[in-house]
Order: sequence, then structure tokens, then C-alpha cells
Amino acid sequence: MAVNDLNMVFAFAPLAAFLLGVTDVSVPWQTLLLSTVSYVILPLAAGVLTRHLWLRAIGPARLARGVAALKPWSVVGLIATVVLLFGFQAGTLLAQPLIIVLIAVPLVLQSDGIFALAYVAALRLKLPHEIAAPACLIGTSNFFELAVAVAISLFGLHSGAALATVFGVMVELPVMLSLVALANRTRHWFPLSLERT
Amino acid sequence: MSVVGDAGLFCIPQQDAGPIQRRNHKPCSTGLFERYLTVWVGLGILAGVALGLWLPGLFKAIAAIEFAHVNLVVAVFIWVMIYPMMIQIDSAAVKDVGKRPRGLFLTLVINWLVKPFTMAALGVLFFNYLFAPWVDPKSASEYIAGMILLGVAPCTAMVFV
Repeated sequence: MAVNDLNMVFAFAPLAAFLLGVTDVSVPWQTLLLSTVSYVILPLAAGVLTRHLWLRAIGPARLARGVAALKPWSVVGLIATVVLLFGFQAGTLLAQPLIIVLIAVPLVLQSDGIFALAYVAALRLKLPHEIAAPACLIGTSNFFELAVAVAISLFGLHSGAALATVFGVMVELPVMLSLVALANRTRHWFPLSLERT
Repeated sequence: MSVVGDAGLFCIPQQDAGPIQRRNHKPCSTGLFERYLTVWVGLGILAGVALGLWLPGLFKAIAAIEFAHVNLVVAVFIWVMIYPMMIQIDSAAVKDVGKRPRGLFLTLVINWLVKPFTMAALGVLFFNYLFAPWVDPKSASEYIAGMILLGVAPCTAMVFV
């Protein structure tokens, strides 16, 4: 997590700004930084801090139960955001329902393409399956909650950008589950694992 | 976010997880809730569209609750969404990373050197060229922006590799 979040902090905002800049989308830098701080750094710091404090106050077993009890709220938050987003977009969507298909096509291509690329790379690197499969799956999937959050704060609730990131959620689940099934069926392509668990 | 690992919003259902599930993963507590995420999101979309049509005033009122261009209602929902994921992160798991440098290397390269660029390229290819007849240029650039944001946001579970 530490590795990834350092990357997130240092790479996410500049990379997003760069790619958006290349494709002629103007981005207010301040907003981008502000949203990285408020949706990555602050929740992360709050999470680490409260975890630490709780661990001391109530011990690991009850902490694990508390964390598990909090987990469904992620989904509640996501669905509530989705309801709001589509409430704002209702008019646009009914006017041109075709847009749903148009957004889904490149997203599916992207996920499958990246997975294929990562899988071939893992085969070439002769990684054991137990490392290759999660590495590829994790490489393929997106932190779409962050994308949704940033798209809303950068472009607004009514924007096409927010709509596109929400479709990321719709597309990711079925695609990832099919890739997991594929990864499990192709275990014999890989060298035997060094570490039996 | 990811489908893989504990840091994600949901886990791979046990029966599918098989060999991917490793010993330092806590067992997935995949509830009904997480497993049918696509269904819930689908229902959320339908509910949103329906409410948006019936009660446009409600959504106008919500849109007005803004502070410095940040919609407070949305900010609260997003925190409700992200915080439970962040508190799940077990810093003790980080020390395992060093044992799997090649797996980590592969995800790092894919996440930061490949994926953002292919996503941006696909977005431009589809919305500026292939779909140009059906999408007006302003919306097209917004959809591209959304795809780029998806591409640069990597899965937080990657260190568990």
C-alpha cells in the first residue's frame, strides 16, 4: 500500500494533467491537486490513523470485526453517488441512450488488451502463476472510485467525464470476473510455483 | 480499486478465487452486497434516471449545495465510499512486497507506463475518430477525459502482489 500510495500522490496528478493536456482538455491544476489531497491523502491518513488508534483501544479481533462492518458502506457510498450522477444526467441519457454502448466499447477493449499484454509479459518473465495472475489482474483493474471523485470535482456532476467514469464501474466488474476465470483455467501455461502454500 | 485483494471494494468470490488467493490474504468476506455490485450499480442507475425525471427539483437543490466548486453531498458520499477501503489497509502486509519484486515490477510498469497511455489513445481513437459521427466534439472531449482519469487511477491492492 505504501508503495502504491506514494506513487498515487506523486504520479496520479501529474500524469492525469499531462494526458489531459495532450488531449486538449483544459484542467485546473489546483482543482486536480485539491481532489488528490481530499480523496486520496486525507482518507488514507484518516484510515491509517483510526486503524492505529482502534487497534490500541479495542485490540485486533474487534478491530477486524469493526472494519468488516464498515466495508458495506463503501458500496452504499458508491451507489448513492451513482444515483445522484444519473439523476443529474437523466435528460442527457434519454436523449441519446446510444452513448452507453459507445463508452463501454473502448473500456472493454482497454481492460482485455491490458490483461493480455500483462499476461504475455508474465509468461515471458517466467513468473509462477500465483504471482503472475494477481499481478495481471491488479494491473488491469482501476481505482474507479477515485476516478469518479476526481471527474466530478474537475468537470462537474453534469459532465460527460463523470458519466464515463461511472461506466468504468459497470464495465470493470463483469470484465474482471471473466478474466479471473480465464486466469484460473490457464494455470498450466506457467512454470510450477516455487512456493507451495 | 480492485476486484483482487482486501484493499478493494470487494473480493473475488471464494469459489473463483482458488489459486489466486494467497496465504497472506485474509479470507474474503464477500457479502451479498459486494458480490452483486454490478446489479446494485445497475439498479442505482435506473433509480437515478427515474428520480431525475420525476423530481428534477430535488436534484437542482442538491446541485446547489456547493462550497468552492465542490458539491458537499457528493463529497460526503465519496468519503463514505473511500474511507472504509482505506481503513482496511494493513500496513503489516507491506513488508511482504519485497519478496515479490518481479510481480510488483510488472504491475508498476503496467499501471504507470502502459495503461494510462493506452487508455488515452483508445479514448482519442474512438471518440475523436471512430465515433465522431455520433458524438459532438465537446462531449467527446469530456468522455475522453473520463477515460483518462480511469486509466491513471490504479488499483490500490497492487502491493499485495
